[in-house]
Parts: sequence; structure tokens; C-alpha cells
Amino acid sequence: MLKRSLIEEQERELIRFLYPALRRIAAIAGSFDIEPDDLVQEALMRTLRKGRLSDLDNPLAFLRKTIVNLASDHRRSMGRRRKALDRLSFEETSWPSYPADIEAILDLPPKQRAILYLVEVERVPYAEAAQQLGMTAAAARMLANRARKRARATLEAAGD
Amino acid sequence: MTDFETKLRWLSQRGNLVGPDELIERMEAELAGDPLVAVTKRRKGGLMTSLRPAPTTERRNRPRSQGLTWGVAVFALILAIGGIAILVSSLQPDPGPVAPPQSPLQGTWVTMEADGSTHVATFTVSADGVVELVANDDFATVCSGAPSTIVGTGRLDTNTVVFPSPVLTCDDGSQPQTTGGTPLEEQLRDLTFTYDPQSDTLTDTLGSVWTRRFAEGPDLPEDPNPDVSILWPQTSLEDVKEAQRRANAGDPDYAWQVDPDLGWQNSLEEDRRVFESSEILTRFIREELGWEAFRLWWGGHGDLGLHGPTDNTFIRCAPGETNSLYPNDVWGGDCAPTIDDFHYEWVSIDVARLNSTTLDFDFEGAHDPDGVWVVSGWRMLPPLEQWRLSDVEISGLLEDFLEARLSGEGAESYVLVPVEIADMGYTWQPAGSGDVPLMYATTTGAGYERYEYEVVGGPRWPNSEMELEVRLFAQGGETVVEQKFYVGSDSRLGLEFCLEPPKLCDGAQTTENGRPIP
Repeated sequence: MLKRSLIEEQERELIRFLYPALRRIAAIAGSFDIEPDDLVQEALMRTLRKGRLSDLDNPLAFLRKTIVNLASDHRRSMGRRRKALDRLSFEETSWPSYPADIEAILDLPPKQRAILYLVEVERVPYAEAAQQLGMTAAAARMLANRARKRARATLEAAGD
Repeated sequence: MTDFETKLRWLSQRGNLVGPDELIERMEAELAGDPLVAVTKRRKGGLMTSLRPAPTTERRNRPRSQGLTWGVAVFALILAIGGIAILVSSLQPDPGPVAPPQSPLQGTWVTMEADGSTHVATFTVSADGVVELVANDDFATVCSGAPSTIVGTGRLDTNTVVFPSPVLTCDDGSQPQTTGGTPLEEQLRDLTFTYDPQSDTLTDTLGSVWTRRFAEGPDLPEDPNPDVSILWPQTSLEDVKEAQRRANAGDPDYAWQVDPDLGWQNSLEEDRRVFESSEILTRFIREELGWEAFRLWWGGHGDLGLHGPTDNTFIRCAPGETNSLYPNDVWGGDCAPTIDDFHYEWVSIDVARLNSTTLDFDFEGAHDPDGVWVVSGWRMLPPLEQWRLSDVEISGLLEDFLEARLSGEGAESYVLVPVEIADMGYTWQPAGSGDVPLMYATTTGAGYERYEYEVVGGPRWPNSEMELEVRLFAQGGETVVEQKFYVGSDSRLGLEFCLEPPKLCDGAQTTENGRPIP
């Protein structure tokens, strides 16, 4: 007997269609200790529990925003965890180490990474990127500028 | 930074690719209540365990210092109310009651806070003089970085409007957090805005100066490069192409638009030289804005955009006048304010460069030394304020702080530490107990007996930034603790200490007998 699918075929098709774009933003916004697919899954699950993806006006924008928010939450909780470990003198705690230019990007908050990726790599206009991440175009520009400056400062500090 | 894009691409492809079908299978299992499949298919340490409801930030739980000093008190006031008057943001498309044409208050106003955030407020004035205020802040400190909205009803009296009981709410439903002991509603009471017809500005009870919502250059109707607006000196792609052809042929009427030096530079000084001598920028400022004297804003020189540097920020200076507040400052000494003694006009300008070969605003064009530049965007910014702490103020603050350290209590209330806010950067908030190492004693527990302090840098235009070094002596001078503090862009608020993240400051912030203390 065939197992009954809980996710309708129309929804499956939509997930397949959205998946590449969602995974890229998850890889960008998520910390290195998160698998991008886990982030995508979490965002999809939270959304599916509330209703159909196809009922959303702009499912890509909604899911991208959700992914970035989840990544931000995760980053904050990891920050506290890391701080707690530092206070407990876990000097040997191993956090991943990457080349300085990658570290400079990873050092940015998820939303800043996401906006940079959308405008720099996917060439999405600020207004559209802003819509996808739930902010105003002006805020998106400001975030991107801050991200570039901050990444640059990190690189300069690493080069000193 | 030139391969920034490459790194981002690389990052976007990281991780083990699961694919949509397996993802759907996982979700089916999770929806069916089969946690074994749902969880084990995720990687160890994945989100299932680490993602939890949004955390309460540490600073919310941090005990607040009592007995704030003048500096921190102002900080608290700005945090609490500041966020308010401040209140800022989106505008109502439907203005509601029709404003009497004689009311200059009607419309949308903006101001900029010390942390660089811009706030927008909309006043709707009805015929009977009743004024409705709606202001939103998409970055409200009192809401821990969440957006906030303030609404109020007041009455216009000539050029002044008072809002007796404005109400601030956090858009995410949380309760506003104030840092002082005064309830928020009390701090907001009788919020007043006064209109100055001469400068066409508003001043609120907190001293913030508001200007009308900035003007923006017109949008380009249709363009094959929709993200590049062509505003000046040409206004269409065809005209820019023709300008490029003529510049390529050496026509001096267009060759001035070619500037191989303009673009991202490595040093601030070099930026200033290049940007302040750039023909495209200086001609635009002089010919279009009518400014005779101006200065590149050191905190806002251009970022490298896709087609050229954006947000190149220039401050208007009163021609031929010395800045009485900072007469000897390298950057601001010869740049006196233009609005009043403390406020400047300033503008942000974007430029884009055409690819001289393809005659298009493609990505390579931004790096083409032969391409012509055009102004692709500009906006007037809310007034920039300058201020300067007096020697008496800074020594008073430092001595109060250091005396408290000698007495063994109360020193935290003078110190601000950085706290990340909603992925938007950092703000400075009152320090908690334990934030500053060796606050009252050395590593061996010896109390301090005396102190010294030194201003090692600044104060610098326009907001009195300075670097300070304090030395505390214990055990008859055998142990010396040295610490660095800063008076930053929120210089009226307190002493900043670089506790975390360390990248905000260089080098060890605390040493004991020369040994770094984490």
C-alpha cells in the first residue's frame, strides 16, 4: 500500500523550484556549524506548519527572510554559548579556522552576509533584495555598506 | 576586496548537498511525527537542537547601574526618549485630514542620531490646529533593536507643537526597556517640536534638529541598466555613450568626466585628496548644489559599489570661516557649520562609471580607468551635529570614575560597553558588573591607592572623539593596571570600553604591570 504523502505534489514542485535559491542563501547566512540544508528544512517546516507555500504572495522572499532570521537566532545563541565556554576557560575549545578573507565574511551578521550576497553575486537590485529580506531599500544599502566596511576592517586587522 | 564576490560564491555552495527530494522526505517524516527519521537525517549538532525561540539578550538581564552620572544620564535619556522623538520611520501614504496650507510643520521630517541611524516623523496638521504625530524607528534601542512606533496628538501654537502624552510601542510586541529610573511615559511627556522658519528645521526637546525628508534625484524612467540611474551631467544612457565617444576622442568638454583616480583607495588621506579633487563630484556639488566650500566626510567616504563608489558624503562649509569649536582640527578646522554654530548640511552622492569599450554600465566598467563618470544618485541627509566636550567635562568624568574605582563601588555607571543589536552593528550600553576587568582590584585582590589619566588622542571634529589611558596603582606602586577607554561618537554619554568584540579596538585594553589581561 502506498504511503500517503503529507506534502502535496504542487507544494513539492514549488520546493524543488525554490530549493537552489534557498540553499544558497542558507549557506551564506548560516554559521559554519549549521548545514545549509538543515536551515532550509527548518524554514520550510515552520512555514508548512502554518499553511501552504503556494498561498504565499512571494514564497521565495518569505522563505529567504525566514532563513536569515533563523540564522540570526542561531548565531546569537551560539555567541552566548561560546562566551560561556570562554568564561569557563575552555581554552582548547576548537572553533573552525579559515583564511582571513573568509573569516572576514563569516564575521558579519547573517543579514549583512545575505544582503551582500544578493547584491554582489546575484546582482539583485537593492530594492528587491530589501524586499526579500524584509527591510527597506535604504536599510539594505546601509547594511551592505556596513558589511563592506566591517569586512574591510577585519581584513586590515588580520593583516596588521 | 576585489575577490569578495568569489568568496561569497564559494560560501554559497558550502556544505553537503542534500537535494530537494531528500529534504522533502525528511519533512514528511517530521510532519508524520517520526522524529527518528527527522532528526537522524540531520547532521549532528544541527538546527533541531540549536534553534530555539529567539533568545533574550544578555543585556536585558544585566543589572542596571544606579546613580547615573551626567554622561550616562544623557545616554539613558537618549536611549529612552531619544528613541522616541526619534521615533522614526515610515510614512503614511494617506495624510488624512487636509493640512492648512500655512502650516509649515505638515509633512515628513528626518533627523540623524549619534549612532548614525536616521529617524523619520510625519506630522499631519488638520485645519483646527490639531497635529497627529506618527513616527517609527526601525532600529529602536529601547526595543532592543526591534522597530518601534510612537503616536501622539498635539496642538500647534504658532511654530511650536506639544504632544502631552505620546505613546511608544515596540512593533514586535515587547515592552520598551528604559535604562534610567524614570518611566518612559514620563520621559516622553510634553514632547515638544519647535519650527524655525529661517532654517526650515524643527528642534525637539532633546536637542535633535530635524529637516524635511531628504530630496532624492529623479528616477530614471527606463534604462537597460535599471540599477544605474543617470542623473548628471547626462541624463540618458545614449547621452553618456556619446559623452564617452567624445571623451575617447579627447574632447575637453567631456574628457573631464574621465578620472582614473576615483574609486576605492586605501587610506583616508588618499580618499580625501582624490574625492575632494574629483571633477565629477566637485562640479556637481558646486554647479548643482551651489555649495562654494565643502569637505569630504571622513566617516562616509565612498564604498565601492557595483558601478563605482557610492555614499560619497560631503559636508557643506561656510566659505572662508574657521570652525570655532575645532579651530586646529586637521579635518574640520577650516569647515565652519552652515545651519547654526553646531549643525551642518551634508549630502551623499553616488557615482557610476561607463565601460569605455562596451559603452555599458557593466561590472567591469567600474574599474575602467578610461570610462566617464556620471552622478547616479544623491540625497540630502539630516543635519550633522558637531559638539566638543570641555576639558572640565572630561576631567570631571574621569576623576569621578577613578575615584569610584578607588572607593570600590559605583564605577560601572560611568562605563559603556558594546552590544550587538539586531544584526545592525553595535550600540553602547551601560556596563554590568564584571564587564571591565580589574575594576576595583588587581589580580591579587589588592585595592587601588591612586590613579593617573591621560588624553592620548583627540578630541576630534565633529563629535569629540578621543582616546584615554588610565593608570591605577596598588601596593605602594608595585602593581600598575593600565586601561584604555574611549570617548566615541556618543561622546556625551560616557567612557567606552572595548570589551567585546575585540575587533572594535586594537591591542590589549587592560594590562597589569605590562601583561595583557583578557
